[in-house]
Amino acid sequence: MYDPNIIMFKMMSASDNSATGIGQLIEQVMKQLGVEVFDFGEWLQVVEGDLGTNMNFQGAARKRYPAGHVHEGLGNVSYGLATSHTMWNIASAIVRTYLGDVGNSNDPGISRCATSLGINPTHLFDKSDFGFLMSTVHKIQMATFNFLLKYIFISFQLSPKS
Amino acid sequence: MWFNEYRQLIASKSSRPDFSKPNVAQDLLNECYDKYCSGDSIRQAADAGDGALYNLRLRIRDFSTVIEANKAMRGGDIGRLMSMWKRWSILSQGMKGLSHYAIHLPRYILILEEYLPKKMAKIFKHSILIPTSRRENHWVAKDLYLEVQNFWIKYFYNHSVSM
Repeated sequence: MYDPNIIMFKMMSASDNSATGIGQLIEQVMKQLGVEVFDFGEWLQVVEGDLGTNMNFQGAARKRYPAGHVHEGLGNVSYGLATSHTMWNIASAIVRTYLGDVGNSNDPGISRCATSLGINPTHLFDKSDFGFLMSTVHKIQMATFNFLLKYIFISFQLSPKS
Repeated sequence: MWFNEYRQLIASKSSRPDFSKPNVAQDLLNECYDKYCSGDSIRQAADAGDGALYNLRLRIRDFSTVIEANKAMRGGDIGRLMSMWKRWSILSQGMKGLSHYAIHLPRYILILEEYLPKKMAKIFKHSILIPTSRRENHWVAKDLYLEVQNFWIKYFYNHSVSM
């Protein structure tokens, strides 16, 4: 069973309904509890009261809670980008940038490299195949590095560095 | 032209790497990195005014970001993915057809790294990629998982007996 923790306070003075009065009352309660001002303010819940001090206190206490306004709500200020779609669109844009002229065999773009690897470069931008685009980017990069490593190795052999 | 030179070398030398020497493979990789992947090499190619070579180096750099992001996503590594997103958010400012991402990708990064409280940002970041099976390197983004589920819904609907 839950045992409620109730403390009775000695109330020698009563508030005369002024800001000073309620201040004295709160100070007495704090002394009897033996807590600091900060801790007391953190846990105090005003149930009823019409004094200006109380209103100020409640105004400050309400700031501790998330805003009730929709404009400031978390759902309205933060969003999540679709991660895979981001990558798809950006990868597609990057490939498109480096594609070059598909019809021109002297063009240094990737279209000729893709064709040599058995990939039809015009199929890269069909809006349906995410994996195909990714594997193509990977294949083209690997083919490029294969070429470069071979080229560097041959120049190594001709002029070996000690 | 460097390409013609390459073809001549292929024709003249029978070329198999001599891996009996120590560190040949490592030297080869280092040389390749310095020559074609490093930031210096990109600047040098720009200074030399060789358009094709410059484009090749830019291509290697940009394709690498795609491959790195793909691997990071499969591995469920949000930190690596975020660093690629940072590159892309700059890249997208000058690229055609990415006008929406040019605005929303930097904003998304700012939300995750600056705007949200740290612990909440951690929850957000670490729920971007989810493991749907117990296999390694098979993490998926939430939207990809949604598309896959969507596919199966359509599949079962289209292959079910009509009432």
